[in-house]
Amino acid sequence: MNNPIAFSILAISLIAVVYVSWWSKKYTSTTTDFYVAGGKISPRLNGWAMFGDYCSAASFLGVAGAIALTGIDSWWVAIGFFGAWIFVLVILAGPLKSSGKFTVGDVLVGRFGGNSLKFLAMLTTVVIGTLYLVPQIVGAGHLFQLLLGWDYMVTVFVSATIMGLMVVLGGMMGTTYNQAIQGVILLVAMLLLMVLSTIIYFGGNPIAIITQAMSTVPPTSAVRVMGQLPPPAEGTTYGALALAEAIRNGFQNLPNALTPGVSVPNALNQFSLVLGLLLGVAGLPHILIRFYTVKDAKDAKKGAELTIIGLAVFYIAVLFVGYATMTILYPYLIEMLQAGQRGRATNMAIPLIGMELGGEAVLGIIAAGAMAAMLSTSVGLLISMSTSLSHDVYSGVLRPNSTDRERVVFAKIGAAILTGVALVASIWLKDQNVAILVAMCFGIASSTFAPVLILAMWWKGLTKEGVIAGLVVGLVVSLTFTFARFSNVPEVFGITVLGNPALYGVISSVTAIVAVSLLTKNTGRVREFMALAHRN
Amino acid sequence: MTTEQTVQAPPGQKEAIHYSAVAVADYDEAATKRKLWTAIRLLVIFCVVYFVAAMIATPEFKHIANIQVFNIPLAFYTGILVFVVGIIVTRMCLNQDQKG
Repeated sequence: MNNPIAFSILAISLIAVVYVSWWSKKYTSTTTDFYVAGGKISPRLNGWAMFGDYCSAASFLGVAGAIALTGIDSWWVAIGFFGAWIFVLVILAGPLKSSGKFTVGDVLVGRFGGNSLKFLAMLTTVVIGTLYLVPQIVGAGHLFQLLLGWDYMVTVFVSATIMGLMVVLGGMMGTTYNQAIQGVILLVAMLLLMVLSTIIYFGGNPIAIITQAMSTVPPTSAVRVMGQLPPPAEGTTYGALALAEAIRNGFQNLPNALTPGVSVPNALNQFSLVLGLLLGVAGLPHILIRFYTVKDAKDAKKGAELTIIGLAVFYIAVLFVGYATMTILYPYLIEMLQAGQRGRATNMAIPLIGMELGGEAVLGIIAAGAMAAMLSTSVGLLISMSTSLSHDVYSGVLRPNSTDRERVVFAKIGAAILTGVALVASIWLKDQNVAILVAMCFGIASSTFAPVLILAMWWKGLTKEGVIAGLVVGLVVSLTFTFARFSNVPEVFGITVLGNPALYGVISSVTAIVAVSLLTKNTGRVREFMALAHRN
Repeated sequence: MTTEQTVQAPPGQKEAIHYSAVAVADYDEAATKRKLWTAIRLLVIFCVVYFVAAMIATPEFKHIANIQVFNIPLAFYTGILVFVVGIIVTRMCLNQDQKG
């Protein structure tokens, strides 16, 4: 074992998570308790739980790591993650809570009825959830690899197994408490890194982090010119600041870490990314399901406000921590890039800076925070997927007369299978930045559930056929461009593959919804549904 | 008037959907339209800041994002501004709810 103290802290935090799940089992006697904690969660607790649920490996590891490698352009993923919540709060949270019960499918079926929508909603939930699960397993695998020195294949298997077991142990009540606790751990861990790095390396002045970043060429740019640097004096190596200064002085035309527009390919790519991020949360089932755990629409919005404030603090801290990491770990990051370990450098920069700042103790806290991020999100994903499988399809279509126990067992078996699928995908995508993987899921969500749900809430002319067309077209287009991106295919049918599928997916989905709705007539129980959705 | 309501199952659906709902007669279309316009206004405020900040940080417009304000590029301030405007819009949205 590489880091016994850090691993012990991580192990204690994992045991605490399991204990909370076990303790909360006594409050989970029905499927309603299992799915949405009986709708009894307070807005404040839900706000923290949403924060923990939302801050996944992408937020905690990926974004700060990407900033450390490439500079300010990578901050846009974090800003987009934040912006999405404003969109959800203003346009969706209230009506969604008022018109649904357990799943996204409930909303659509509530207005239009029919088994086809239940099945399609479940399919979309499972696709988004499984793909979103991949970066959590990738991040956890890299983290265990760092702490234990195990092979990546073993670590992803162990990580996926722990995540799957969490769902078997606890329902939504346990998940809520775990997510809330983990949300606090995440925020504290990120602020701890910011404070420690400011005090130890920047004289207690956070602005010095920014000014130092302005004198630093990002490692991804620096690695291209490293071979042209004069070698350091014999028997010595470059220190972090000396190396940054040597590169800055030797190659003055290179951008610094605050120069915008360096790692963004072009405006179209950026627009697709920020559009996908803005609309994405409105289509993420594991986030939307949390609005059903509170009493009413007002409580749903109150919880979202707390989440939004927490995210603002967190993502601003991420920028400072990313820049501090770049400065402090500069030679090490370049070394990893030279060794072709970009994925590892991005995803592990934060645990490594924890080790640098406070040794194994801080590494342990950061590892616990990172594991909290991955577990809380993974469990949220698995709960939302298993709820959809069990509620929308098993009890809704296949076996309406099944018992509560049979439904929960079906949900758990489904969750185990989906964890296995995500595990295989995690092996394929092991060198991808987890933030980019999550951003792709946002692109798919923004092309499927987001337009359908928003129009279902606000457009009387929406028809059932329009919903089906929008979900199918959005899913096919966004998945096609997602896999083309990961397979390095430059064009699909003559259309350039962008970094995020949202632009094509959203346009196709909305066009399909509107066109088919205008050509068909089944608007469902529109007055009943609107009365329900907008009752407060 | 709030009532418990069971929405009848449409043809082809096996079970009815149970909701705690307002009576259909209470549906106020004008109020829903007002809510929609309020939401759109708030979103426009946020989206203008969000998309302008995002697009100036692209290679095509980076000369704008690179304008130095107190020796720091404008992109840094516009990024922070998105968070500030987001929190203001959040509060405005909740205030509207309280008034409603």
